[in-house]
Amino acid sequence: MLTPGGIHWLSLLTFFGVAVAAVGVGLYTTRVVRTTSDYFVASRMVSPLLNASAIAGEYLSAASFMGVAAMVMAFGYDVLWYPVGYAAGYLFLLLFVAAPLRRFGAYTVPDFAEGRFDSPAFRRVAVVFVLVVGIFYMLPQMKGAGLTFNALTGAPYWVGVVVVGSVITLNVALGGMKGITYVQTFQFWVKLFALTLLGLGVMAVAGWYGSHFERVSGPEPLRFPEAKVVSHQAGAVLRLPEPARVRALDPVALELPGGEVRQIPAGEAITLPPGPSRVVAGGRLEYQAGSPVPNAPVGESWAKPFGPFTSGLGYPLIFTYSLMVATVLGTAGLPHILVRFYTNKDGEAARQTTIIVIGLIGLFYLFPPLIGTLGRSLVPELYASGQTETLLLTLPSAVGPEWLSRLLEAVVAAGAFSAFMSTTSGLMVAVAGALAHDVYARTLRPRASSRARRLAFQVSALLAGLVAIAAGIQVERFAINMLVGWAFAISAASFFPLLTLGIWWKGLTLPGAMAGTVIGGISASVAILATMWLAPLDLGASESLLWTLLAQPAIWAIPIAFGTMVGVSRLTRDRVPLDINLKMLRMHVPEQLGLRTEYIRE
Amino acid sequence: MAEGVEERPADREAAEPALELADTAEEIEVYLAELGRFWAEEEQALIQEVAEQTTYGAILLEDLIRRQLRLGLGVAALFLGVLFSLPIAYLAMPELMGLRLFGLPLGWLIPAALIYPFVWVLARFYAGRARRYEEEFRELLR
Repeated sequence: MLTPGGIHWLSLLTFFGVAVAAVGVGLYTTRVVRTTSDYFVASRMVSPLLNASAIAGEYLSAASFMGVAAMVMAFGYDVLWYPVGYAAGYLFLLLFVAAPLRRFGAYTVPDFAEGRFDSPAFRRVAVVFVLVVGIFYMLPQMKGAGLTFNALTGAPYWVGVVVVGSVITLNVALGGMKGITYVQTFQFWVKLFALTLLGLGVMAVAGWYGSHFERVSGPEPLRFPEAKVVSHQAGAVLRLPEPARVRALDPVALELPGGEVRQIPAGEAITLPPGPSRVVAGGRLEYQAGSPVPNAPVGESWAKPFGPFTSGLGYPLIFTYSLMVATVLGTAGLPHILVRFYTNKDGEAARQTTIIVIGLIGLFYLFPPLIGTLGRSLVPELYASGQTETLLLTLPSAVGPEWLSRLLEAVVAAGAFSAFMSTTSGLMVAVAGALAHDVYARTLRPRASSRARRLAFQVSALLAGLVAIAAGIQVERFAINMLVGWAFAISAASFFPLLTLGIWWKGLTLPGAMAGTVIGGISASVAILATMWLAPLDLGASESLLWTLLAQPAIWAIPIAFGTMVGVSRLTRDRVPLDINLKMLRMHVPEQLGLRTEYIRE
Repeated sequence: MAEGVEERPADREAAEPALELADTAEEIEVYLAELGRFWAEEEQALIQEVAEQTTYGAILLEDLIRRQLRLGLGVAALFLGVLFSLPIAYLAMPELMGLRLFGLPLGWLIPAALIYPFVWVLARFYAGRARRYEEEFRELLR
């Protein structure tokens, strides 16, 4: 029995099964959520292993679960820097932020901003960036939701965004932080299990990783190993490295490289010339065995650095380094991850948690490159139809027997739902927490009762959910990882310099910190918005240093932020907080000496 | 010591306001408010004393921070050095990067798999050292 989308009912069942289970756990834990502290930080009683699974569960989003494998298939080697940066980000978090931030007792970055510089105004500035990074990061999750829902049910993209977005929003509004801690942990293991089973299951039938890699990384163009039917939409462009022999199954019209428009009646076979052909009237084409795959990069550039992904704008080395810097340094400033660190018992526990997280996500990231390689080898038709993003949902059908395909599909559906649910929930807690804790309870109504604060949190969660859904509907055309990379770049250019200098340099002053955060954050955001709205969407169209720097702003925005902070602080030496030594003491001295204060009280 | 410490107001010798003969409720209130302010300032001064502590404690703290920062920067530089040289090394040393392990070329296998245990080892190394520095700090403070 198939759903309208052509996928087995089992997948729909697991997809919604995970949703129902997660909401169930959330509702159940709500009953044990009693205090405000429970609600926001799960009472700081979470053990390192549990906390690490929750952090990994929250961190591995739709971008990691579906996006990386899909982009490895589409672009190859250069995409490996995304998972490497996502994992190494925790190393930098450990080196410069984890333990001191926990010891300082700040729950959110805005807490740190105010506490370190005694400035409620800086808190409000920091809140703005929490909201920007949080909302930016939710967009790709919404996109993953829409894409998956569409593949599972055939419903339009926006329906998936609305349905999944609403489920998640309600769950967060009901359960708060404690409600989602166990859900996140559970979802990490679902995701790891799903990718492991998919990778091993496909290899059990189709053969080892290495042999597929060998086949698809050579100097020859990628070819269809057997005849394949591909459905082309009107407007799509088919770039062929060599002539391809095809047979039309529907009446199809193509504008050939010379500019001639060719009508192909159903049933007729023709040879397409090399070069780009544009589809004028869409339909199904059957590519014969051995014909080249349109739009697939050649194996050599796919398997090596500075391939199609980074060289499109003409400056691959700058693009690569900037991407690395953004992902490595951005993690240490992500608001939803930092909030989780507050649930550690002390600074040492924060360090242990980080080490476990690095192990868990390192294990997870072994699979996306493997699955991307298998996809290039087994479902090359996705290049032709321009649907490499649906790789995870398509790959199971490429291997028999039937029961295995259905099982793998169902497991992937469950993992996909876990991915966007856990990350979106975490972001929503961070964003709603920033509104409820930083704006409402600290600025608008400092004397608000516990109940009023919870209500404020729930209202904020609903608000954040609405914004995410509305904006999520608009981003269908952007690659999931590009969107996530941008959220990282903004975080790396605003919060990372603030946290590292604030923690390690006594000389940082309020004007310096504020100027650096604002200038770094705004320049990265403006560069990214410019890329989203103005850049030619087809990145191959123009080569320019300016577009490279706008598309990957981390490499210049981070030094600007650091430079501004140091420069302005030097000019305002007299504004160094008087009790700076006490603050350094609290951040750097082990807890055993008893010098800690907590920012969240009962 | 850090800049800024010297700017601390030195006139901490102000005396506690004395209670004069007060007969109206307002006068008592004014006096209590004054006393409250005085104690708030006094407490602030006390906090500063703790923060500046004895020079011995302050030097030890500075030293702890400097050692941990140097350790962190060292590990970060090592990692970034390796990361940044990977794409270049791939192109500069095609023979080495083309070596096959489990059927995969080394150049692919490093960023796709081997780098994760490397990051984990660096993290373990850092956490162990950082903790030892803190233990030494506590020992010395006793």
